[in-house]
Amino acid sequence: MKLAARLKELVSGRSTDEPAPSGGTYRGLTIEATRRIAEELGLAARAVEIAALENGIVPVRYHRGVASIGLEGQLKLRRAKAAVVGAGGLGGTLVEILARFGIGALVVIDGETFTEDNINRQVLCTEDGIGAGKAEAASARVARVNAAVDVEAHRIYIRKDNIDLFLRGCDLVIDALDSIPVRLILQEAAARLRIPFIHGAVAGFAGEVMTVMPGDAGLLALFGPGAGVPRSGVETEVGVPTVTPAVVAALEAMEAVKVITGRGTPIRNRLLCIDLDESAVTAVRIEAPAGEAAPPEA
Amino acid sequence: MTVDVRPFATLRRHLPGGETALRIRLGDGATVRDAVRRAGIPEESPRIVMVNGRLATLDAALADGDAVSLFPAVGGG
Repeated sequence: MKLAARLKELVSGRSTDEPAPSGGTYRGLTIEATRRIAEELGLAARAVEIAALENGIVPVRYHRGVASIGLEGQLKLRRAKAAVVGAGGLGGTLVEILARFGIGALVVIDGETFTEDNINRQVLCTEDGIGAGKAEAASARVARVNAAVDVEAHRIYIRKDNIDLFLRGCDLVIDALDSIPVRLILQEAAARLRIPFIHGAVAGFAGEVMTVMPGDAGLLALFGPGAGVPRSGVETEVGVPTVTPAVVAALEAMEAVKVITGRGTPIRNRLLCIDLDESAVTAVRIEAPAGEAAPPEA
Repeated sequence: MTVDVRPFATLRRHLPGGETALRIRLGDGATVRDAVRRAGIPEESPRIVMVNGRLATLDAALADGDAVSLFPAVGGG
């Protein structure tokens, strides 16, 4: 019997009736059943889950999300590969959310190791993990949360001349960096490789989020050619308190879900500025082509 | 002319007594830079300048009733 047919037979045969919160039941596939099928057929757990979804069977771990995004949405997520660049405050929460949501594959890039002053906001940083690599910590966390997500972890600082290597084959690039000039390098690379780019940044109780599709001005409207690009923002004065990266990372993850599944309206050509102190959200319209609306030197 | 200056997030600390906006009077031909100076905000601080919801620069000319929103550089992750 062909592998695909055998896979279909196994996911159907080993699926079980699972209770749904609505009162009825649905056909589900447990983590244990997935693991056994994967072992028997020599496949990745991800491939087994994709086969289940293709046959109308919901991996139980995704059920509450599938109720919102549908089988098709979940399939799109399971097939998608996203790069999370930076594994600190934003990146840690992004990795956690995307792994639980069932993204197919993650490329996590961060050259740093954890220090004690990371622990207030970086969910991958633990008391016994000071000194450990951030990218490796992300990989280890995903293996515990959802082993059906493929992870590539790179302890490296991205530069203009190495970034393409890591982004090739990705469906999405997510900004979880802490440097404004490096963000511009990342957006430029994503645009060149025709990959959607999701920007996020935090400082104090303020944050911002924007989705930049290839060809959009994005950050270039704010830091156009000729305008000064500050290395960092006011976070060097006001720090980054615990809540802000959690909020901004969750919004970035939602942008990722929108771009991958096609649902909703991405925050495109608008910079969403969030002021948590005042619970104020302001969308700054960005319509100018790159370089024409550069602000004064910062 | 009279314009409203609305600093966002950390820029609000330049306003007196926890205010979230400042209404200021300016002479004819005033620019965003004049409004920022009058509000007591260091002009190098705002990274994004918006006039009536549209992206602008410090050199943009203002008109009576304009709302100037100012955002700091946010770069942490």
